[in-house]
Parts: sequence; structure tokens; C-alpha cells
Amino acid sequence: MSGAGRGQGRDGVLGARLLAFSISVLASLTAFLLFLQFGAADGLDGLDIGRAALILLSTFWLAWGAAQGLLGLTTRPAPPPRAPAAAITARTVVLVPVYNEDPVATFARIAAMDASLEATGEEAQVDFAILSDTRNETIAEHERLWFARLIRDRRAAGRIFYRRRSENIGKKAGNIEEFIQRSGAAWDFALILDADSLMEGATIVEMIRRMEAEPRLGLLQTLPRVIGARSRFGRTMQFAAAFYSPVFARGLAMMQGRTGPFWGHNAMIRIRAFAASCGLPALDGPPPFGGHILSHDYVEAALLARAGWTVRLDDDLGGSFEEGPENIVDHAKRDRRWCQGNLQHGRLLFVRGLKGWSRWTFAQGILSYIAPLFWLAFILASVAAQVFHAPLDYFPEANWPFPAFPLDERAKAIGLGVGIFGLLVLPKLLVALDALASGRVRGFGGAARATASATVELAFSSILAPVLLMFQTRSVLQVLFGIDGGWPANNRGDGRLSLRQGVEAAGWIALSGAAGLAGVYLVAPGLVLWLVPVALPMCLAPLIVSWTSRDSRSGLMTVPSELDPSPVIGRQREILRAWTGAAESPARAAPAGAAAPAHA
Amino acid sequence: MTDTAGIPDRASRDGGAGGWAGRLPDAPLAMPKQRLEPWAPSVRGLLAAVLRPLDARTGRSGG
Repeated sequence: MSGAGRGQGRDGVLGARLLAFSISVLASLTAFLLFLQFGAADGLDGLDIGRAALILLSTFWLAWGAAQGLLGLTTRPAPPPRAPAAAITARTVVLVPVYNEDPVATFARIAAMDASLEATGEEAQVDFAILSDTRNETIAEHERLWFARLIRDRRAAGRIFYRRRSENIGKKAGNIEEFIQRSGAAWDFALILDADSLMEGATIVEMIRRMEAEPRLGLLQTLPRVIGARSRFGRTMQFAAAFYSPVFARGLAMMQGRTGPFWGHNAMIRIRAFAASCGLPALDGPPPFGGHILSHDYVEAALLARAGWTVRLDDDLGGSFEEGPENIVDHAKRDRRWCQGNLQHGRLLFVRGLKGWSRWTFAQGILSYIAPLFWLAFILASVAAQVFHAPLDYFPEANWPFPAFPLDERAKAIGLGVGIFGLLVLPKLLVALDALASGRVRGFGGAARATASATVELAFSSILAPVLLMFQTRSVLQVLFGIDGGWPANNRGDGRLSLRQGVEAAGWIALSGAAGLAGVYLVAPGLVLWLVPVALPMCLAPLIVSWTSRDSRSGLMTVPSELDPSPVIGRQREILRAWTGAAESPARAAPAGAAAPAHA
Repeated sequence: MTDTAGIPDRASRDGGAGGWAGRLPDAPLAMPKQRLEPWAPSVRGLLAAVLRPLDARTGRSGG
């Protein structure tokens, strides 16, 4: 067996990790020392040292992301081993956990995947199980009705199963655990999906072959592409995920070796390995840090690796899709859950027996949520430094007639700023250049359109960054103080938010931005211009939230899944059209001819 | 634990005569809870870790 993951040897994995760490440490130490020199020009004080420490941490995190991108750009791992193209022998079940989802859309995806599997000729080895945790009785009734329709249309008796739990103990992790304890021994592998997941039958079969080829492979994760976005926000995220994520994921895959990630869905597990290694206990103490483990996927990946199983991200696998949030509020809500789950991992950092990389994965998750707070703290400390700055003493030595001018270290500050900006932008720029050189831009509408899309995405993400930073900061503080978030209802179903809803969701950000700007103007007017790029998007946050939730009509942000849709996407739309007459936004309607469940 | 109301109560893959099997098969698999205690170095453990190689070098039994 190979000592690592995607065909690279153990030395390759260690080399990649060492390179990324070295780049990050070097960049952060350089930034730290530059800032200290800048601060020391007029006398070093505690605030200078504190700000230098914040720069150190923030730059490390930025450089780590940049190094991952550079690794992804410069490496091409060998294809992983796979079983020969003979008929597969392992039995696989596709698990679709649902929780108050739209059953029409979800079951249409299942029908499309089943049809896609049928086209491979391997459908006899693959079953589906819909694991409902739905609490809403009306939706549950529709689930039963649409399940009957699904079974009838796909002639899937005995291949597609449905069960609903009366209590959703342990949420999604508990849902899957209950399935394994009840029926897990009937199958070898389980493909875990989300309700909005969609996968090509050929991809599922290829995953089974790879699992069959490597008996120690406990979990195989794909890189799902975001599809179906309509809004300005959704389409920009979809473009970024399609254009940049594959490169960053490749860099990640190079570093993690056999200790890969589990992102909770679009991944295949070896059921017996998972059952033996991944029973999650509730953590002692109350939430947010105690109770059920929220972000269970990272923990399950770490436990599989602890037990000696390989966990691998095969970023070369196509045909794996998911849907993303259509507006900033839905994004922030999801992020709030992930924030709590990742911060809870702080309790698991030192669990006995975990691999070092698993601990680092937990630490990265925590850092990804607290790093924005470092920037916020840096801004606040910079304002404080201006306010509490002692006046310059040009005659520090008594009885010495000549003035002592402080060294002008502004060049270092500007160099530092340019360097940090470079860490933010350079990886994206290099990915764009690589896409132009390799011809990958054809999938994004050609060189001109892809370049325009990437430029707009850069501007868009720069404007969004302060707004998302504030949401993230609030999430971290809410978790630390055990407060639940309050969100406006969105009953329109299409993700569009009115300006009023924008104010409800982000009015506090606008007020914070305006108050911050006014406060800085009063105490340190020289800093106002520097703060405008951060404060202005904050002041406009309600408008941004509402405007970005509207449908995009620009023609930019084209992605490969639109120009050359995967067949399973087309199948799903056809089935939706046949079931409801609408391909894009199905209603929660009862199926024709399925007034009651089809009892035997 | 589970509600399968409205779903035919058959477990076989072929569903039996004239029916379809909507219910999951009974094929239980144990999923033991994992231990997630933090690693905590004890003085005894640290001493053992330090002294063991010394013992190996000096040839002392350590007992």
C-alpha cells in the first residue's frame, strides 16, 4: 500500500507540508519584524508589540492559504489505484439524510442519480436510503407521497428505502448512526449525501472501484461543485468554487496524505470501518462546547485516521455537485452553525491517539473563524495607538541642543501592506493565469469572459469581506457567550431579500460601521481614509445584502456546469419538469396519482 | 425509534408476492462510542518515557 494518499509518497506529503509551513512561517516572521521596525521608529510600546503579534498570526493564516494555492498550481498527483473495469462486487447504499427539505426537489435528484446509475449497468449493486429527520408533519406527509411516486417511476421496489425517525437525536450524525446500527451490515459502502447533493452514476461507480482497490481506504471524499445558483451572490460563489477551489483542493490533497478531510457529504465510507471507529459520544457539559458534536465530519475523519484507515480527497473525481446559499444571510446562518462546530473542536485538539495532521485540521477550522477577529483587533489597536500616542520628543537628551528626528519607516509599512495584499490576491491571480495558459478558461466562457468574471469576483469579494467579517465576528462572540443568533424570516423561497430584510439582518453592521467611522474621525482623523475600504461596505451592508440576493442577469460568472451540463443535472431537471411542470423551483405539491402511499 | 407508517412492512429485497419493500433491512451493526479523553501527560508517564531509554542504555532492569 502506498504510504500516502493520491499516489504521492510519504516523502512527497512531508515535503509539501514542510514547504507550506516554511512559506507561512517565513512570511509571518517577515511581517512581524517589519511591523516592529515600523513601530520602533517613534518608540516601541505595548500596543506596537500587540499589533505586531496580530500581524504575525494573521499573516501566517493568509500565507498558509496562499501556499496551499501554490502547491495546487505546481503539483499534479498521480491517479489513484482503481480496480479493473470488471463488474463491481461490493454492495453500496446511497444515504440521503433529509430534514424538512423540499421532498420534490430531493427525490427528483434521487431519481436522476438512479437513472444515471442505470446507464452504467451497475445499478443492481447500489441501493438508496432516504433517512428522514423531518419534524414538520406536512412535509413528512409529502415525503411519503413523493416516495411512492419515486418508487413507481423508477420501478425501485426493494432498491430505494425510506424511514423517518420519531426523534432526531444527534442530528445528522445520529441519523446516520441509527441507520448503521439498524441496517449497516447489509452493505459494504455507503455514499453519504446531503439533500441538495447530486452525483453522476459513473462517479459513484468509479468511487466504488477505488474503494474496492484499496482495502484500507476508509473514506473517499469528492470535491463537490456548486450548481444551480441564480442570484448575484450565489453565482459569484459558484464561480469562485469552480474557478479557484479545484486548485486549492489539489494543494490540500497534496499535504494531507492519508489523513484527508470529510466534509459531511458527497463522500463514500467503508461501513464497517466507520461503524467500528466513528461512534461519537456526547461531550460532557452544556453547549456550545459540550453536548453532541456538531461538526461531526471532521471528527469522524480524525477517528478513522486514528484507527489506521486512509481518508482521502480525490479532487480528480468529477460529477459531484451540491447547491449553495443564494444570499448573504443564508450563507451567514450556515456559517454560524459551522462556527460553533469548529470552535467546539477546541475540546478535541488533544484527544488521545489522533494523528498530528488531524489536530492541525481542527486547529485550521478554529483559526478560520478567529483569524478575522485578529484583523478587527488590529484595526481597533491601530486606532488606540493613534489616540494614546505620546507626542514626539525631539530633544530626548537634556542639555543637548540638536533635535533627534525619528527614522522614517513609512516605506516598511507600505511594503508590509503591499505584501499582505499580495498574499490575498496573488494566489487568485496565478490561478487565473494558469487557467488562461492551460485553456481551462474555455469552460468559463472563454478568456475574455473568464477574465472579466475573475476581476468582478475579486471586487465583489473585497466589498463583501468586511460584511462577512462582521457576521463571523458576531458568530464567534455568540458561541463564546452561548447566545443564539436572530435572523429574519425568508418566506419567498427563492432566496431574494428585500431592503427591509437587509436592514433586519445587517442594520447593526451599518450602524457599527457608521459609529466606527464617526468615532475615528473624532479621535484620529488621519486614519479615516485608511478605514474607508472597510467602513464603507459596512455602512452599505443592508443594501449589499438585498442587492446581491437578486437574480444575476449580467452574463458573467459562467461556469462549466452551465456551458456543458453534466447529464445527471439535465436528468434531474427533466424529472422535476415531469413531476411539477417547473424545472427550477418546485412547489411542495402532492404528486399526481399519489394521493395515498402505495400499500402492498 | 423509527416511524415507518405507511411503508409496507417487508424487508426482503424482492419484496415478496406483489409488493415492494420500502422498509430497511434488519442488518444491525454495532457502533461503539469512541473514547475522546484528552491526552494528559502524567509525571509517572513522563518519567517512564525518560527513564526507559536510560535503562536500555545502562542495561539496568529498572525494576
